[in-house]
Amino acid sequence: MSHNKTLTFAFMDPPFESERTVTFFRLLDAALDANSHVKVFAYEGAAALSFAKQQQHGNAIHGNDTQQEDHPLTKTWIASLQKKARKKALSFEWINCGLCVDERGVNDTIPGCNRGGPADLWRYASESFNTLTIGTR
Amino acid sequence: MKVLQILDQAFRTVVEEQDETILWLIQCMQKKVELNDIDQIQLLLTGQAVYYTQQKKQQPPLKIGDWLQTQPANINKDIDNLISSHIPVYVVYEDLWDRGLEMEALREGIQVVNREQLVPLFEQADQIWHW
Amino acid sequence: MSEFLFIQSRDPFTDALTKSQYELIHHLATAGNRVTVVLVQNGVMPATKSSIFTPFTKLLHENITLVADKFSLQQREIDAEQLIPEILTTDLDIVIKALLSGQKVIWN
Repeated sequence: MSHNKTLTFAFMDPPFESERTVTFFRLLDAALDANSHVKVFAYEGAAALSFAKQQQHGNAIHGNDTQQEDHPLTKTWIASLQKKARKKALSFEWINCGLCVDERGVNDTIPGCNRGGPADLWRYASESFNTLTIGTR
Repeated sequence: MKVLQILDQAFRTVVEEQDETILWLIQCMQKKVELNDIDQIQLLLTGQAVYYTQQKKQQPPLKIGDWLQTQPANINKDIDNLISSHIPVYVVYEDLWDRGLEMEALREGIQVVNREQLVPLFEQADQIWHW
Repeated sequence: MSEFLFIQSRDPFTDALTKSQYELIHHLATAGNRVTVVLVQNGVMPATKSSIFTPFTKLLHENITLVADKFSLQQREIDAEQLIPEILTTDLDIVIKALLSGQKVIWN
């Protein structure tokens, strides 16, 4: 791992209900653009962002089948950020709050997203240069 | 690292999680913080979260169909836990006043600050985590 | 003196707490702190010349740099020329730069 600075992000929102989710992912992307290592603590609804069983679907109102609609999925955004980090030799760590995962039945996550707890958030923050938390409403 | 945690939401997860999720998170992190003399967590209650300074009873149990909640949240206990863990707890006076709560007795250990006094509170923290 | 960056996502027309957030930002600036406010999402709505929300003018202070997120503006079809003259447009890299320079970055 290079000696670039590390930023921690804590996030609480689920995949499809809030504009904050989009802004959060844009911030992660911008952090990698700035050559920062990234650590994410996904709390409450955010524990579903990395759920592996998210599936694209068609949309009859749009007149699109599944392939044409190419519906955004947060698991795909995470995978894309993981790939971007690898290309830039940056670390991109992701921990889901384990109890939040259990409650929602979203245990099946994409590779690179792990299970942890609030102590990991404090550890992440302690190991990082700076931290941003984004609560839910 | 001194981190000021700000909570302005109230009753957001209280029924489903059977606690206030951020007060729970802080209690969990405090177990790590207590292990050294350098780190400190502080809590600022503002907005609707000022109601948490007035809680005296356990939350009412929810009943859905024949399902009855047996372990409703006890925010009163959560706040007491924070205070007994030596976490400074602040509440914004104007937010109490707006809600007609400024004359209510606060439990020992909660410090009232006005909005101008938030300036030094924000200045002294290394990081500010708004939930 | 500290440096703060607030990511202001809340819309004052639907969220009453936004007014007190503006006041706090104003107090921090008045106390001599350098403050940047990044308007995002519906937080950009009071930034137009035609918008009327008087408490927003508290953010027009010499110690406050006020910017609006380009993507949020594009979504709402707000052109830069429609913004109050003191407000510049930005990408979110401004937030990351602030985090990496050790500023206190706060999501509102």
